[in-house]
Amino acid sequence: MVEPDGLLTQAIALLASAGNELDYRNVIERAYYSAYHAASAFEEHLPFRSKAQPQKGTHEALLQRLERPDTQLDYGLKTISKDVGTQLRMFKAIRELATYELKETIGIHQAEEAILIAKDILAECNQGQRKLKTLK
Amino acid sequence: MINLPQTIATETADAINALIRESDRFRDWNAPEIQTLVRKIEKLQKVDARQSFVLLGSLAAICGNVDDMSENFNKALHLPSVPETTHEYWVALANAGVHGKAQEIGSWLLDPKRGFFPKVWQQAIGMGEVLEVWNRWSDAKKTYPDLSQVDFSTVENAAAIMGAHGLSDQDIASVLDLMGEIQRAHKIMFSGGLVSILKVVRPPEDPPYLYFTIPLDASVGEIHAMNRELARLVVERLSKGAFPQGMTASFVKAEPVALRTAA
Repeated sequence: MVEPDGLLTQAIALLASAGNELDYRNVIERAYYSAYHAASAFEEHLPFRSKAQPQKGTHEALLQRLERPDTQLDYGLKTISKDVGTQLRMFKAIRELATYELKETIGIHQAEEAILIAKDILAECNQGQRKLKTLK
Repeated sequence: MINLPQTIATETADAINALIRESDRFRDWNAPEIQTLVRKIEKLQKVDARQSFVLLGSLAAICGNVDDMSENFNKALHLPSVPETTHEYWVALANAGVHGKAQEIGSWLLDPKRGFFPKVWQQAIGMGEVLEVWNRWSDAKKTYPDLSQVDFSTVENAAAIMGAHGLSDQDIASVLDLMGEIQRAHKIMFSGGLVSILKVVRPPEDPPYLYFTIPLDASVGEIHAMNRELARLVVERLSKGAFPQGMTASFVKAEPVALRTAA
């Protein structure tokens, strides 16, 4: 079994040895998935889950549930949910350029920022998980 | 950053454009180099009041002083040469990162019969006026046949996506205005000739969307901090506490000014 932290650790290791655009794209992808899985796990544990029903796509569905949390949710959890959703939406665009847009130039700067974004999202999701434990 | 329009070709305007070319940082109004220019501009007041107000407003814009910028341009707009002043105000608003107001003025400038369309349409898209440009495109091509050679597919695709999501130009401006606020707080103007770069992203499993990026000449750490602030402001300030449906935006690292000049 792999945890989101493990994906992030691997992304950081990949960045340390990265030397070309393909490496940077892989770093971004791995870092994005660490954030995506952390956000998904946080959202699944919420006591009241959003009813947002987007037309398609698991990533878009998660984003919309995070951005539009259930109104019965504790204020702090709602804030974390929206913040994680917004950050992940911004991250998703970087990742989709890295994964699908081969004509785009992806450099070390995007890879470095991807690591920083993933760290922030994981930290916020961990904070949310701790808050969830105190509510039980 | 956008240079001042050629309509005000004076030594002082050249000096302001030199400041714009030299660095993407917002300047300090009280810095000696700025105050020297202010004194020169004030001497112009009796000779050409309009130009004096335009230059003071433009200078205030690159210092991030939104109120002073607007005050000076509002004075200039009461004097003759309103179309030129309107264009100059629009450029200053772009440089200062005030996009909602810029869109109001941009709608007027984009009317093909005003004569500004060819020089403002690309910048207008960068300022979020995608539908306004798209709606004017057909008339603009009739007025300016050279525009028929331009690849307009990104705007066409963007307009279709906006229609599907119910996304408006004002929705885009609401996000870009937050970004302008963050830029002024960090004293970093946009880098290069366009306020933002529009991309249409089509992921295989999710609906397509618009992605606006503002290039900045700053460190990755600072850009990340500004993106964190953007996420916070989106949650706190936008009506639904989220990006409007069908779009996202972020700051990205641009090439440094020196490298761009050399290229």
